[in-house]
Amino acid sequence: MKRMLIAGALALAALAGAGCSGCAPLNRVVEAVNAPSRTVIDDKAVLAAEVAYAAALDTVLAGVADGRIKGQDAARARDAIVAAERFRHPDGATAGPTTLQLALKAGNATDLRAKFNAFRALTAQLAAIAAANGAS
Amino acid sequence: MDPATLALIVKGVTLGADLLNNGVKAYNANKAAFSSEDQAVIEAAIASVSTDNDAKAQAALKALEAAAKT
Repeated sequence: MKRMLIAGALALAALAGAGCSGCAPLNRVVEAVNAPSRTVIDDKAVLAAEVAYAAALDTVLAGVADGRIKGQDAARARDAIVAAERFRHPDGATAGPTTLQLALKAGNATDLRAKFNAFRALTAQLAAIAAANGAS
Repeated sequence: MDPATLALIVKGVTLGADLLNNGVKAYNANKAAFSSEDQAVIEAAIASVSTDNDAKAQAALKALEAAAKT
């Protein structure tokens, strides 16, 4: 079972990589996460949200690597990630179950939706900083 | 690798590819069709991607800290 999961995650991670060209499928997942018509927040939505966050992080990392994100923009991106990580791990940890994973497990749909939307907003903020600096 | 494990790997990759190709809407529409095993795959994929993001975020913070000084 673990091997299957790792294989699936690797497939997702590979497609979410910063060097990935022609990532239309990934874009569709991001669009699905951001769709205002979303009515169900479930485990698939949480997975898509983490994949979208991975894509945003990859984009920022690529922007730093090629020099497009620096100075004040780098500081803004740093602050956005700090905020996102504080949301993901409010206890200050840098690993372990995330806020969304815990909410998913708790099974409170209203709470999960609120936290999903908060994480989506944080991811969008990070992606916007990267996009404003031409990182892709 | 035994055939059962191989079959599980293929199923996991198929689920991931399906998610990417069709978006989560398709899964929501067919939520009732998900077996507990499929849900376990998704849950573990969340854990795996989240763990990867933990490391990625720390790497990004380190890189951005240096870039902010340029």
